[in-house]
Amino acid sequence: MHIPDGFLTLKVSAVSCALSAGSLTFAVRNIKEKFEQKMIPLMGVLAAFVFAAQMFNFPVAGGTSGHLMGGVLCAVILGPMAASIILSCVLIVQCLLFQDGGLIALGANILNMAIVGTWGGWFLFFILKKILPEKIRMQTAVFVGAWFSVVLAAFLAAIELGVSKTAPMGTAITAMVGVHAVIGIGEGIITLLVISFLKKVKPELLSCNQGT
Amino acid sequence: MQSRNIIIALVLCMIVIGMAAAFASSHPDGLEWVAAKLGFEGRAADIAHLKSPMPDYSMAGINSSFWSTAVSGVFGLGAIYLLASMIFRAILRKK
Repeated sequence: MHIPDGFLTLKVSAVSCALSAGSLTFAVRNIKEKFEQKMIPLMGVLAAFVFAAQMFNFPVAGGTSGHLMGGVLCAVILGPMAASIILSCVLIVQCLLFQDGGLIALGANILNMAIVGTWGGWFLFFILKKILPEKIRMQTAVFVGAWFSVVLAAFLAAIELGVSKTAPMGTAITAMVGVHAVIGIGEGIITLLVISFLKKVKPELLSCNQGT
Repeated sequence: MQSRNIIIALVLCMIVIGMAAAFASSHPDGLEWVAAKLGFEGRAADIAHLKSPMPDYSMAGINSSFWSTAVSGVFGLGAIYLLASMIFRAILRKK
């Protein structure tokens, strides 16, 4: 879902850059006191894993493919603020080293996936964890939160495409949300599998997020 | 996180990259698919003229498609790990 250059107007790119920069500043301030430096290797590893997983496109339905976005995965472990910073790192490296995603569109990509998708998905996870019955709570919250993060990011991208007059807004929204509602299932499954695996081998990791 | 666990995790990441290089679907991703369907894929333009070292996850000079992707992925892995570590080191207050 990395938007290349040319799809968005400079105005839309500039606004999304500003929003991303503001959000990331907020995220940075928020985590300053929250984590100790000894958590840094874990953050590095999560960033590395998200990058690796994003390289692995899996086929989806008729003729398209998806890959893990990883926002909710990181957010369940480290909270949404750290997660958005991690995903931003991944997007920056992908753009600069691999030309995956445009440079001018980088602000939009960060806004869509690292910030709005991640925070929105985490927030739904957070709510569901509170209201669902104990037995299915964690799995459902993780799956639905992860699914939603992808759909939300796609929705925002569609809006940007619509405002840029690259595609009619309604059509763009229907198409983007439709495709990513299916791709999001993959996100939900992979995120749930990884979180379940971590819960088994290193359960203390999942309590890094205590009290968020 | 202990060094040993970090290394295990990074090796796991490399395995994921290897699998990606070998098996990743070549179908267009969600956005590309929508762009093709709605007819705006032609708008993609190299406006920034960024000279990336490994465009599209390939390494110049490596002929094998698998190794080209895999090696570029491993470099990316190192770059991300370093960048994320540096950024968080700058952000987090020293104890």
